[in-house]
Amino acid sequence: MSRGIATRDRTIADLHVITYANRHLYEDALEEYFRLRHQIYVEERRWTQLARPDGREIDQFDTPSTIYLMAIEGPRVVGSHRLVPTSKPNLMSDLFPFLAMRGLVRSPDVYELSRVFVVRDRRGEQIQPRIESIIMAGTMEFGLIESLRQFTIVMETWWLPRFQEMGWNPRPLGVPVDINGMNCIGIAANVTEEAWRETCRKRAVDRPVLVWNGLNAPVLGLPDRALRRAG
Amino acid sequence: MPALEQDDQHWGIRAMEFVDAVDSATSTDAVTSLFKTSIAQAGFNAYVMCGLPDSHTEFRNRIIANGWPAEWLSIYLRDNMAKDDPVERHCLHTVEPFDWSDAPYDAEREPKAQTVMRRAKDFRMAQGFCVPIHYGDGSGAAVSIAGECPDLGRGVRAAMHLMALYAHHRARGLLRPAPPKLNRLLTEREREVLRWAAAGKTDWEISMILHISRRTAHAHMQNAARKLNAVNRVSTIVRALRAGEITL
Repeated sequence: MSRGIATRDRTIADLHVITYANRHLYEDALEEYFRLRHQIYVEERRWTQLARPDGREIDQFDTPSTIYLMAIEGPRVVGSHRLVPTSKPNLMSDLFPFLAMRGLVRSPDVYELSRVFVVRDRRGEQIQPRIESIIMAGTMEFGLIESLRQFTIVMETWWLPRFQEMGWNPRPLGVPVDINGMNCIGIAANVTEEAWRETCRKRAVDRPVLVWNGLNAPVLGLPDRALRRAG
Repeated sequence: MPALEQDDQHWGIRAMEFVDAVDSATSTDAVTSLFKTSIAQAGFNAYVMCGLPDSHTEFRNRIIANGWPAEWLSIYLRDNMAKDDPVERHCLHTVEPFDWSDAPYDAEREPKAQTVMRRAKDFRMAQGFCVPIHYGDGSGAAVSIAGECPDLGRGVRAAMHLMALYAHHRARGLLRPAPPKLNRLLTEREREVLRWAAAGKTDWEISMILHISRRTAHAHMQNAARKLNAVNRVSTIVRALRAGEITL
């Protein structure tokens, strides 16, 4: 397990790309991950409808097409982001279609982000970059390297200003709607170098953070956007 | 599953169109003008956008956009009402939009709080709606709208919420000084070498592509690294991307 990039003052966590192709290298991490999801989403946030008797929070969108960006520090999983292709079933298409007033986005180069978390003892730290910042910058980095066009997100509306502040330029897919007592909104954010640069700048991330163990990036085989622009 | 009724749908469409419109606004006046017109359609005749209260900034210095009746603002400032305003206070305690009538205060023990709400009514601000905005680092803002008898139906609320978030974001963005123009540190040759390096080429391959010696290609990389304060090849590429010197 990587120790992360060492700096003068502290070790920065790496963000590991985990796909179906290399998940065999991360069996222990993934077990820890699903248990952490249960702890955080079911016990802490009280999304009790996600509860499972085996203490692992796994839903119908955790499939072989799902990609996990896993923040790993030493032996521990300290945070994560889940990516699901919108060309497959996802939260918005299957559970919350009413969030997309102008119609659902379904495209192999658009991924839906969900289940973001940072473990409790690593939240709100003073020293930067914070784990959350590494996850956000790493997500945009992933989008650029894989030539993704957009990210869609179902989020609690109070998170929207945070994405605006980060430079992601989130566009609403519809108006905010109450879901299970939480005010939520669907947004789409274009994958751009500008968004990545701004995220890195705002959040003190000064290097690429992604680790591709056992993978040859890019892994999705999407047409290179730079080439498409030139052509 | 909540279904959108006809009326709600209209408000939803209007809100989405508003977001598109403010995005292309080129001045804060344009943003506030659009905002004022849009909220008026639901019976809101006053608004204010301001930074969240903190221990050291006076209300008057936190104002981002002012759409309050002049006399009301004058009284509010003169009597330092911000410190007693239950709406101001409640913004710090919630991330969700709320009706002014839901901002808690003890009428008996906090008569000044009651005074603020009562005096607002004198200026046709009998009912209000406030959208707190928290950036995640402790700072934030609030957008407050009010009217005599505004429509506070579900569709209107959702629309006002969305419009407030985007109007504020645009207004704030326009108020900030423009980012410094990209200061080009690298020479064209250094950028050229870096572009190929970013595409995964080695110094040797780059020397072949550009018809220069490998030493020269290497020297360009070194110079770029030095100018960008980078510690190695990857770091040079990343910093060049981040500074806008090269694009992928």
